[in-house]
Amino acid sequence: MNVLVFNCGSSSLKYRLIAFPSEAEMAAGEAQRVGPATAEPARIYHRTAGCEQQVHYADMPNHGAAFKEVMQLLKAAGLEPDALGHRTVHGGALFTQPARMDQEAIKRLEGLNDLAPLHNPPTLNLMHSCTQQYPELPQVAVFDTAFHATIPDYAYTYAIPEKLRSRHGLRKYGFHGTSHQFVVEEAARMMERPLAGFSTVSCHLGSGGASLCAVKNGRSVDNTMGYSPLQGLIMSTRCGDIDPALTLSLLTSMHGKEEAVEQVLNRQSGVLGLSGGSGDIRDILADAETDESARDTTSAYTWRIRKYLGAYLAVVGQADAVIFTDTVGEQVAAVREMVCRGLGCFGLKIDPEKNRAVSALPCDVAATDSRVRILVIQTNEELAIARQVYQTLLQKRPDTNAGKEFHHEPLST
Amino acid sequence: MNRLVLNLEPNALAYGFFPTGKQAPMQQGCIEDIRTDVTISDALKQILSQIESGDCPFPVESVALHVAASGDLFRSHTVATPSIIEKLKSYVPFAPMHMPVVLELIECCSLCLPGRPVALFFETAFFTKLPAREYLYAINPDALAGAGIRRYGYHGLFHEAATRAARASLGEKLNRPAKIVSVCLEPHPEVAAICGTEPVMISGGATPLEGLPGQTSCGEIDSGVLLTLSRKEQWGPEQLNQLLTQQSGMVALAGRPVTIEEVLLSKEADLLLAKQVLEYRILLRAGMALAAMDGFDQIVFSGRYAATGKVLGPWLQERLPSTGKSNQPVWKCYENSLMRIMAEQLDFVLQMNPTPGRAKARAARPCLIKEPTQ
Repeated sequence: MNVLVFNCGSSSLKYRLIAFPSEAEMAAGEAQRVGPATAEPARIYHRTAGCEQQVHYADMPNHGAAFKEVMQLLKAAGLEPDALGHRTVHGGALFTQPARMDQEAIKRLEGLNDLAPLHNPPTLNLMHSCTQQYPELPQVAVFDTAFHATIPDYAYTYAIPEKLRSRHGLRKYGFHGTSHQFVVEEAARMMERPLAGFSTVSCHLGSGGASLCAVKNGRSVDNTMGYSPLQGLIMSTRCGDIDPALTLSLLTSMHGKEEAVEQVLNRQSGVLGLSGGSGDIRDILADAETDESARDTTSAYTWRIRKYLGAYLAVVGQADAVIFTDTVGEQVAAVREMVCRGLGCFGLKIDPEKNRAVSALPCDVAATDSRVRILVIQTNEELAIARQVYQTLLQKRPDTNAGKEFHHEPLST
Repeated sequence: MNRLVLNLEPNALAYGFFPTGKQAPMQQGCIEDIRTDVTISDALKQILSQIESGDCPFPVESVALHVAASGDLFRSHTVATPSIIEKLKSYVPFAPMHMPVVLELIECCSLCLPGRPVALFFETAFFTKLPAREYLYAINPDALAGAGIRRYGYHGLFHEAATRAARASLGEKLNRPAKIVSVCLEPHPEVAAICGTEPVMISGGATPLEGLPGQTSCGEIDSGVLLTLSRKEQWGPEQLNQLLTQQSGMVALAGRPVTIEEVLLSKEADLLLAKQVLEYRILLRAGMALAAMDGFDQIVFSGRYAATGKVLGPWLQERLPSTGKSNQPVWKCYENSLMRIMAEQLDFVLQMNPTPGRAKARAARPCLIKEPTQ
């Protein structure tokens, strides 16, 4: 079975065609500048196995048009998908596992647009285009929130009145679930441990968004992101945790305009807001030796990760490993070292030399005598999604390396 | 020295009178409905009158006044002088409900108790020493109309006193600064990590709303939740503030007014979620505290519900990494009241902040209180 996975951004469409059960990548690429015309033409960077990357130019006023172009490129290479998989940011409390997206399911997902107004609508538009153009292809949505459906009520409940929580679905959902799940399964496999008995803290540190996930016995029990991706760690341009009174203060000064406040908290805060220069922690680290603002930004960024790492290590109890993944987690040794150094109380000891010398992934950068391993694992959300699509269409839940099935507790909201 | 301790609450003025050498107040009470029915001046006169009518043979010789919010203006407690009062006035825009009343009370003290020093105890002073990495918010300061917005913490007096006691109980056993997890169990509970005498982590924020949920306050919450409520319920900042400060926390989770103590000690099913949420959030913050200090030597509980630590302490100890002495309790309850803490510290604050001519002024004061009769 060939599974074509889509990861839909606001103006981009990433895709990857993966054959099952071999998991061989047959084609991959990214459509850029999807939407209204921009200064540069829309294009697709496309590559097939064993061939050079090509650039294909085409008008792509929407994601439906981009999808059509991608399908033509695949057809020209003699490739055809048997199923489509969609990375879907928010499944709310309705979708707690991968779901086949027929008309009824798409309609239900549309009802959740308020929970992810920036992310879910483009994906839904793409699903509609797929249905219209290739009605015979089965579509499966894989949700970033689904892995976190096992977070217990005392961790996902905000301390506000129940009638408001239930009326608006106000609770912690957690995000980056596909990535967290993938690296946790990989880590358990690396350590030859059954997933059902594997406990870890997964640190997904992207160049944009970032979150930590506490995993106990293979199941997510907490995530630093909350109802929205705003909560938790300091991110590139998102604020992370702030005093609720500051949000009210911003609402007052911006005359109650929620969009303006969202703009500040989502786009002008985080590393960018602290440094006043760049939103990329790699740029800031380079200046940290000489610039006080860069030093404060770096220490605040890593300190928040470190605090949540401690919090989640306390929650999971005897952890087997701490995992670092995604751009910053995989590539920035200094961040890993600042976060892990001096956490011996949790049985964690990083080997600075191993950490700095990382060249191939996955790898273990913990000292030999560290009780808890420190693993650096490359995330592969597309492969994780493709696996879940394949398994869903085979009508079985994802296998764990322990051979046990995932179990999702029903949600109370 | 005979000490009058004053504590401004939202609508009341609480007091305690501690004669020289006494650790417990000889008299204590609370004047309700200040700001609405009773002026600050009348409230203070009532207090002085009550002390006088209680057959108290001692005059008030010094005053300790609790100041809840003063940002990072003061790094230590001090005595009210004209220059200090000017400094306090500069903070009125940042604490418009609290600071004017504090200033009015200082003025009333100078009129009713001339010559008696008024020591000011600042809740936020202890946390002015927090490192930048802990107090910074990742927001462009321009958006917040000023760089003064930072994390402060709100129970500095309890944390400071409780960790002092914890350090004393640890004695000379350590050859490094003691690592204390300080859990203040007040209606707005708060967890701090204190290494030696330096705070390194705090759950409270720019206001007491951040951090742990309280009896009526929400604690940590995604900003997206507030924006959704603003959008869908068409609520303005005032209504949201009312929700987050008065209708949230334990009262929201339990569905009825309830104290932190009731929640933590309860075995009732209707309080189970509130109890689990509060315990879990305390565990998270304790884990953060350990990460901030790389371990801990002792957990100390303080605040009006400090005794609840007898239940919470073993629960936390079971979940936090072992300190190597797992069969011994690593927690303590510090049960002194806020008034007692201030009374005990008052002489020290006066010694550290001598004001010229104090004794002279005392000798010449008109007295509203009866001098002790032999």
